[in-house]
Formats: sequence, C-alpha cells, structure tokens
Amino acid sequence: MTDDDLRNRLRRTDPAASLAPLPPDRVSRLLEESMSADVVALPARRRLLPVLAAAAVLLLAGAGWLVFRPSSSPTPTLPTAAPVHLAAPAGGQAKCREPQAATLAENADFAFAGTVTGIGDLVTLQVSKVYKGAAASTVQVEQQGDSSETLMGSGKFETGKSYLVAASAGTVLICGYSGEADAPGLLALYEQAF
Amino acid sequence: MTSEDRRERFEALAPAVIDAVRRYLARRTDPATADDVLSETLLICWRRLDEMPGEYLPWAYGVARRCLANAERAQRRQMRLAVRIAAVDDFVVRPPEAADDELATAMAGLRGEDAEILRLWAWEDLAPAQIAAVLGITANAASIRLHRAKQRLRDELRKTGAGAGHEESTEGRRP
Repeated sequence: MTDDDLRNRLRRTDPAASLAPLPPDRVSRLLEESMSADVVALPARRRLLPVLAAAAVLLLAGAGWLVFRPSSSPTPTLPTAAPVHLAAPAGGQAKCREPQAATLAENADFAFAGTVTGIGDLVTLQVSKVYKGAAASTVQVEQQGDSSETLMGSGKFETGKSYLVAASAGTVLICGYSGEADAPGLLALYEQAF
Repeated sequence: MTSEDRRERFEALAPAVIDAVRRYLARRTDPATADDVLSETLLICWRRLDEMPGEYLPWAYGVARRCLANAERAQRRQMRLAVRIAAVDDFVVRPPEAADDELATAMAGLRGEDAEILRLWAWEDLAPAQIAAVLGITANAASIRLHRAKQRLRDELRKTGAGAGHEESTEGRRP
C-alpha cells in the first residue's frame, strides 16, 4: 500500500467531510466577537473607577460583552399592553469595545427612549419613542446593580431623567448601548442604528 | 501596525482559520466543546496576531490543539454535552458514507501520538514541516515520526485484515 493509498483511505473516513461551511453571517459574527471580546481583566474595582472617569465612552462593564453575545434562545415576544420587563445584565469586570451602530442594529431586538416615572422594585419608564421592537408605552427595568458603570451617565436610573435603552432577549444591553439620553454620542448612535 | 491594519489583517485571514479550525475540531471533539474552543482559538489569534507567521494555518491548529487540550482537561465533557448539544448545530457531522471498520480498528491500535500525526497528515493535509509547527517539534522529528506512524498503520492493517480472514480487502479499496 503506497503512501497515497494510505492517505486516500484515511481521507475517506474524515468525519469533517460532511461539515457544511459556516454561513457568512456566522463567520462575521465570530469575527466581531473575537475582536470586540478583547477583554482586559482588571484586578480590582478601585482600579476601575479612575479609568472610567477618564474614558466615558469605553464603559467598563460587567459581563459587558457577554451580555452582548448573541443569545441562542428565541426572542420573547414582548407584550404591548402590560409593561415590558427588562432584566439587568449580570455583573463582572471587563472592558468593552467602542459601541458601533451596526452592532447595535444587529443585536438589539428592542430599543426605546423613555423617562423614569418611578423607582420601586423595578424602574418604570414612560416610553417616548420605540426605535425597534413592539410598541410599548411603559417599560419596567431592573435597577442596574453593582455593575452600575454599565449604564452610560450616572450609571443608575434616576427619577425624572430620560434614557435610551436597548435590549436583547429581555436583557438590557450595556457596553455603551444604553444610558442617559444626553450621554455623549448615544442619541447619534441610536439614530444611526435604527 | 495601527489598530485599523490589525483589524484588516484579521478580517482577511480569519475566514480561512475559522474554516480549517472548525474541521480540525469537528474531527476531534463533541459539538459543544468544538464551539467553545473555536471561539477561544479565534480570540487568541486576534490577540496574538502580531506573532502569526505567514503560514498561519499550522500555527492556528497549534493554538486550537492547546485550547482543546485545556478544555478537555478542565471540563466534565459528558455533563456539558448533555446540557448544550441541543443548542449547537454548527459542528454536527455525519459519519463518512462508507465506514471503514478495519481502518478504524487499525487506528485505534496505534499509540495516540501516531494516530494524531496521521490525522494531521491525511485529514488536515499537512506536510511534515507543517505538522512540526502544529506539534511544536522539529521538521526532522515530524518527518521521522510520520514515516514510522505510516509503517505502524500498515502493520496494524495487515494484522486486522489477516485476523478478519480477508487479506485482499485493502487491495479492493484502492481507487
């Protein structure tokens, strides 16, 4: 049996021979994930805060990019009559890439502008404009937790203030994709994305 | 290299890396682990882009190989498989059309490193120098090991062929 015979015989048993090529959109998503997941682990939160102050655009976020990873779970249909509920992202420490309108448009399944009318167990926002997703007049969002730096602006929802909030599969998108409506660049990002 | 140059270079070569590494992983592990290790491999390629040689595929296989070894050490595969297999369909492969039990038995009879060098040669289609880059050994050593592994596989095939009582079966499989 020559080398070529041996190789051909082995090749006929290649388990990946039937592997279909990855669709182009999955390839580009993988690329984007790799380049945007350039996580810089910072040892302690006290090191985080000065950096935050210096770079308002680069939000240091809890599982920021993790939240932004496309979820494989189906998008829940958001109710229109009852208030829409959105969860706060999980905490952690990571560095986000500068937000991109295209990424926002691709990942957010719900985005709106609204003003906080009340804060209880949940933060209630009166919707002034829905950029993407089902129409809603009221949205209830979990107050942002210890990873409060995830939200652009003060980092917490405050009564009377206006916010731009994007969500994917029921969870608020952070990493510079949600925050106070007058946070630098945020409104422009929304207008470009939607 | 500016960050824009880096992005451009990565975007230019990553699709080929994705394709090759997906195949490499589909041949060696379960779909859930393959999915994780592919992401990790790409991330390392992105971070270490400046170290990537011109012939980057063997280098990328080497990265994938180490990531896979880590993943398999660190994780209880069976549990993860049960939980995640439903969610990942990018790596599902069908068994080859004509199962070659004799070859499978012969490969199973080889030492792990011999079988792996043969897979890199036949499935990843690598030359000895490239195999050397994947395994982190010298080209000379790769060449010798490959030669011996082929010889051992032939010996094993003779054994299994003779044991099954049809010595001519390997001849019949020639194209």
